[in-house]
Amino acid sequence: MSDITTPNQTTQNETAPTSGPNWQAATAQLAQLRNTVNRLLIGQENVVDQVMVALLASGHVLLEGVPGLGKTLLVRALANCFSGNFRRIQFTPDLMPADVTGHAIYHMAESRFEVRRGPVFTNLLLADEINRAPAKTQAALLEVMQEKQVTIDGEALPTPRPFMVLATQNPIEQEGTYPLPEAELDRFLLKVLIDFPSLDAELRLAAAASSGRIDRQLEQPLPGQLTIEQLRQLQALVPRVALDQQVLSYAVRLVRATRESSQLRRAAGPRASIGLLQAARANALLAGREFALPDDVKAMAIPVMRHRVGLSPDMEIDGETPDSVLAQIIDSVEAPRL
Amino acid sequence: MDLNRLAVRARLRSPWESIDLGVALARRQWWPLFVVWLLPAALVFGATSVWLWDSPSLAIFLVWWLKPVYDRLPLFIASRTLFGESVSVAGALRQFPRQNLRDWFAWLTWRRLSPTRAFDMPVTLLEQSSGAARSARINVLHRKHASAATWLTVTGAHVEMFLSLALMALIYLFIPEQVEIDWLPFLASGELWLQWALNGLYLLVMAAVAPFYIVSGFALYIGRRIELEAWDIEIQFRNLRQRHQRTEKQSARTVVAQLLLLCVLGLATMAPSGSVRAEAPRTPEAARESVDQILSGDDFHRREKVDGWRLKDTEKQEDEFPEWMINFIEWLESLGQDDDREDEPSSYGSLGPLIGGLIELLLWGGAIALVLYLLWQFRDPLRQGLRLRRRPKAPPKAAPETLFGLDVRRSSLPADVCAEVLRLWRAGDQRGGLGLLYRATLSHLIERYQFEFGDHLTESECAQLVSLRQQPADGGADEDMRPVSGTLATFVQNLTAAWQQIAYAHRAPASARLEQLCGQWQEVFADAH
Repeated sequence: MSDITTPNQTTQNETAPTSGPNWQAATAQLAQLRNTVNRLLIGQENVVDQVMVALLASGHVLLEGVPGLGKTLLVRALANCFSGNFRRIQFTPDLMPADVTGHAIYHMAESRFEVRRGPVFTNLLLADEINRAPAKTQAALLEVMQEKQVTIDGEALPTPRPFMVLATQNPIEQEGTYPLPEAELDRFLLKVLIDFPSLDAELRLAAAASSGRIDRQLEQPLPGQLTIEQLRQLQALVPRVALDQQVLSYAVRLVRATRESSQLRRAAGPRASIGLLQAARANALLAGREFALPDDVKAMAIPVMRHRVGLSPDMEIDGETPDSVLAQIIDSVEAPRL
Repeated sequence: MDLNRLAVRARLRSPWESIDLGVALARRQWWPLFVVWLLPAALVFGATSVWLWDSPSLAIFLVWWLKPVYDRLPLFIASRTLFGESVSVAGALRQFPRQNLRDWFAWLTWRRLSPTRAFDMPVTLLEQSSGAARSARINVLHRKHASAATWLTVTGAHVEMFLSLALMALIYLFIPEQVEIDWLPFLASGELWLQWALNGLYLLVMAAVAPFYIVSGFALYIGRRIELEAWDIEIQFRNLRQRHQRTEKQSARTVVAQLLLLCVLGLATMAPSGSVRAEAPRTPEAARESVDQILSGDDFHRREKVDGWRLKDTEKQEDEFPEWMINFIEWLESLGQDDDREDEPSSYGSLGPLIGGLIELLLWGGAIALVLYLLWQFRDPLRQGLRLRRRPKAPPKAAPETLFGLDVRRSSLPADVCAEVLRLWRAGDQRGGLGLLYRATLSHLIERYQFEFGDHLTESECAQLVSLRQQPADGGADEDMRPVSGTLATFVQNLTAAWQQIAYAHRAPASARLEQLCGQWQEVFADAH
């Protein structure tokens, strides 16, 4: 018999939880949120699901895709779904760390230092083309992403909750860019790849965008918009999703398998295991389940690990991608056995 | 032509060695050769000086052009000398008209500028052949020595030029310094007497060089004939025969003496005279035996002891053609033979049929390979066109024994699965009961529907695989596998959901739900009982 790691251990004879959170209401709210975003960002259902998983798991997302696939629209739609603040920073080569986090300035009239908070003090932060800024500026995000606070002039200032960074980067333009350091990459819960929509989706997208419907919807508050409090409650539900010992073991075995593979130069660390479990739980919640399945772990394994691993040179020469190598590694790990 | 009287050693010589021999021979009798060449030429020179006094250049050209006429007497003397005859100058001069009878027109017209004149002249003069026979002979001779003969002519022309200049320089050197000559107007004046003097000098130079040129060409010709006709071997054989004849005479004398002695000593003993002539076999067979015996003796073998490393002797059967290969080649030849013209000899030689057979075999092989390749390449459309189905694999694959840690062998299952499941359920082991039902389902799916559930597949993915095989028309399912019914697919989905609930959420379904699942199980696997 396996253990189950949930704060309120349910008895095995009951057919439904008799106490605790209202899972059904949460499921309904999430379904509405998802539908709303999908109506705005047409044809990217998988991307929306993964971004919502990250939002629920209080993680950050690195979005990668060619220009014009709606990365900014996604973030705006997401911010519009709950009554949170949204800020955007366009990363440029001359951007300074203080431009991101804020700084202390001497107030002449009052003869004191005044802290000017940077754009990171928001609920949703879009770091557009993050790899265009030098490492010094990218490092300004390290503290705020991990600790959710900014230290200015020796004073730690917490960011509003929920706080989520969505960074975008362009995979094809490499001229004048600075690759993200591994410590920075590790702080993103998921790396989401945005690909071109299907024909049907693009037809609907083109019709909606050309008629101005999307812009109109973004300007007015959406029906069923969540409050910040509701979102925080949903986030609080994620750790309460039941996780069997076998599923936990499966997630850890998946992450550890990357360390034994000769195809990888850089393997995923323990933060990947933690992130994978968080993402799996959020995925289960998004699917309307109060328990996580091995399928949740499997579905989240590639988005969680693809930016945390580095391919060996011969794999790169062979044209393999982190996704294809990870898929091979996942297929080599046995699913949970009971 | 008596080879025994050959004045030079008959042996194989390189062309340059032959030319060297010619130079040596010419030096030995240069004087008579020079005279017999110069006298006719001088006559012509004198005649031209009378008739063409005003055009010395034309005169010397005429003299030069008639060189083949003068060449014949030195060649005549050289050829006679080579075979031991001595010919006096007067005797040679008497031969002049006779030697110039044959082919004189050819030599003074189209053959005049031949670069191999000295080499070719003996063919005309000594072999006295002409026409096609001469051409064939010249071809054979030229095959090896034409280059050297050409170089001989080129060298001779240069030597003539150098000697002319040298002679003029010599004369100039002998002019006393006191005699002041204004050279430029003197040479530019083009005085006839000066030109005739130079012509005379050139005539002398030509006469001096001619013996060397002619005899060298002749020696080249002789060298080629020695090589072609094996004069050296013939001479050796003649010597052998002479020696043998001498020994035969001696042994004959010995026999007579022995016979007399035997008669004297007494006939009563009647002793045989013995094979006293054994060393002189008379019959060809005996001679051949004798030759073989002598050849196997030490005289014809050089034995030496050499130390060193070498590979061990291995079986060298591959050097011999195996019987099947000979048969195969004969068969190939028979393939290439034209059936209608078997009697006629092939104009392409013996290789013709063999190559023809080989090409025919390769073409057939290529055609068969092409057909096989096309059949393999388009096997699927062909199979569909012919409405053929691949035969179901007769022996079912060995089913896996464990899956997800579950023992999925049929033997591990109880006889009545549902009864056992319900018994466990009622006894409180709900997980064990549902687990047994799930295990039995997997076991039946693997054994009866040949599902291959990989170790990395989760329960949901297994259920999805079952659903995919539900409708073959969608193309999602493999045609060769047994399709599953919609009821079975739905049942697997429901059972998987219930199993996931109890396994991962630790939440058991209601008893009624379990009983319903048991009922469905008996329904979908009804023929299992």
